[in-house]
Amino acid sequence: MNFVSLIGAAIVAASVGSLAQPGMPVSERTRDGKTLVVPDAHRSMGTVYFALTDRDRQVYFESDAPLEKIKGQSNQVIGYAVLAHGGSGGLSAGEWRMPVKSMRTGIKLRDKHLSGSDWLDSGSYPDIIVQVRESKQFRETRRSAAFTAYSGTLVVDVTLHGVTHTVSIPESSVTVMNESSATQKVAKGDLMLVRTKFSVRLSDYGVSHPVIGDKVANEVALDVSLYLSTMAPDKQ
Amino acid sequence: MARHVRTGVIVVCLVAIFGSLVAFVATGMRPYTRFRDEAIEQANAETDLSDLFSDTSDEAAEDAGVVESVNAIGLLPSGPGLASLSVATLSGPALVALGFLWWRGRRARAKVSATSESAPSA
Repeated sequence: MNFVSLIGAAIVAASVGSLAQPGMPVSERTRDGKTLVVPDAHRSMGTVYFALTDRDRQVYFESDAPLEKIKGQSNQVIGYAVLAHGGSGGLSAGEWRMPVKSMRTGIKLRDKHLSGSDWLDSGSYPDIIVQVRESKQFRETRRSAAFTAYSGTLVVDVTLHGVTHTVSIPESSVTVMNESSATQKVAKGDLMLVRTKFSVRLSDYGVSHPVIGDKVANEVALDVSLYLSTMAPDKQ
Repeated sequence: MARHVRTGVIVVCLVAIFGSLVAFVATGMRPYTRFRDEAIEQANAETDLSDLFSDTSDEAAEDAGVVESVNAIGLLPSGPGLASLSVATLSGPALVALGFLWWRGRRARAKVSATSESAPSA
C-alpha cells in the first residue's frame, strides 16, 4: 500500500467515524413487506402491536417557512410497538418506518423533489425510521371499560437521510383498547394508538438546500397518530 | 395589423387575465396550482380508527392536520403539463401581449400625427 492510498484510507476511516450512528440495529421487512420482523428480544419485552397501514393518516408534517407553508402526510407507515409488561402503559420497544416516497404534499412535482437526491434521497435512504429506546414517567391518564390511556415521555431514535438522532418526546400518549364488537368492525385484535408530536431540524440530519430557511423551514413539525393491532397485517 | 386581429388578440388576453384571476379566487387563492391526489383522498376518507379512538384522551381527540386533495389554479405553476396553468403563466404572456399592442398602437398614432404635421399646408 503506497502513501497516497494510506492517506485515502485514513480519510475514509475518519469520515465513517464522524458519521457513526448511535442507532440500534434495524429490523428487516417481512416477506410480504406489510410489516417488520419483530426480534425475539423485543417479543419477550411485552405485547407486540403491528401498525395498521394504508388506513387513516399516520404521519402529518408541516414546514412553516417565511415564503411558503408546506403540509404533508403519509398512511404507509409499517412496523410494530411493544407495550411493556406490568401495565405502566409505556412502550418497551418498537420500530416503525415511513417510506419517503409515500409522503404526499398535494403537489406531485414537490413530492418528487422531496424524495430526490437534493432532499431526502429516497434512492439511498428509502425510509424514515423511528425506533423506541425507552419510555419514561408513563402514567395512566384515563380509563374506561373499553380503553386505557397513558401519557409520558417517549425516547426514540429518528433516522432520516441516513443520520440518526435520539429524540425525547414528552407528552406522548399510548391508548390501548381491548378487542370488542365495536373494535372488530374496524380491525381485528386489541388496538393501540400512539400519538406523539415532535420536530426535526433538517440540518441535523444532513439535509441542506439553498431554499431551506426561505421556502422550506429547517425545523419540520411532525404529528404521529399510529394505529396498531395485536393482529399482524397479513391476518387482518 | 388588421383591426379585427388586434381586437381578437385583446379579447383573448382579457379572457386569459380575468379567467385565471376568477379561477384563482374561486379555487381558494392557493400559491401553487394543484390537482386531486388519489392517495391523499384515500387516506383522508379512512377515519374508522380515528373515530374509534376520538373519545379516549385529549391527545387522541386533537385533530392532526390534513393535506387537502383539490383542484386549484394557483398564482404560480407547479410543474409541467396541466400543472403549468396558473395566474402567472396565463396572465403574464397576456399582459405582455396587451403591452405590445398598446406600444405598437401608440407608435402608429405618433407616426400618423408626425406625418400630418410635416405635410405642406394647402
